[in-house]
Amino acid sequence: MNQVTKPRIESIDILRGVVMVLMALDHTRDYFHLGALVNDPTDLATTTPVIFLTRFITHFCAPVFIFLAGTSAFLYGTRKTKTELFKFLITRGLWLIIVEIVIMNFIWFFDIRYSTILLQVIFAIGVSMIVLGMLIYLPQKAILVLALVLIAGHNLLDGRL
Amino acid sequence: MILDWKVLILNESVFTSAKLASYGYPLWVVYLIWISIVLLLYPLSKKYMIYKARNMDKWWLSYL
Repeated sequence: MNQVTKPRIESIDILRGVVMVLMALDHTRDYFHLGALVNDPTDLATTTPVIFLTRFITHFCAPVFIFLAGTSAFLYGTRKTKTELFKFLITRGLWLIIVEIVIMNFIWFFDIRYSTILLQVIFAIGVSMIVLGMLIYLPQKAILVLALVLIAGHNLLDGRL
Repeated sequence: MILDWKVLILNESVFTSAKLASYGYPLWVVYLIWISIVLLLYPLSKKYMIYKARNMDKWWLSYL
């Protein structure tokens, strides 16, 4: 097979791949495990250790996706102008929001009437990209402070929203 | 087990009732299906990776 040139940082792609494979486990469980639609695997009253851990390991996936989305935005930005990065983040963010609502909700529920609309990780990444598209105009130190506040402080909002 | 495919159209009534409470398989079957899906998707993903690397000029590829 021919070698394909890849001007990408492989470790990021590999980590993304690992996380995708791991996430597939949780989604398989959602659809195939006995009672997965009724019982919460992290409900200590009904779960077992192995079911709990099957769910638990996939908790790393969404944060990794979001961290890597930020990393990739930065790397993309090192090769482009601010305006190009802004356009890229805004259009991609909007696209991900559409994907979540129109495509993801259908392939989650198979319900063409869309009686339930769930806004999950892809929606969150989309909105974050739009916000990030504007934040890139701030100095890097200000972005760092904001990021630390978000990462360390978000639990303060638990149960309040 | 469940023959009617319409049962898996997951609308509101599925979440508010327990009609799928007895649907599903033991955990080892879940792992088996998971591994099979990953193995099935590996060659497709690899083909896509090569296609993507060879067609970096196509703008829409970065939106997939």
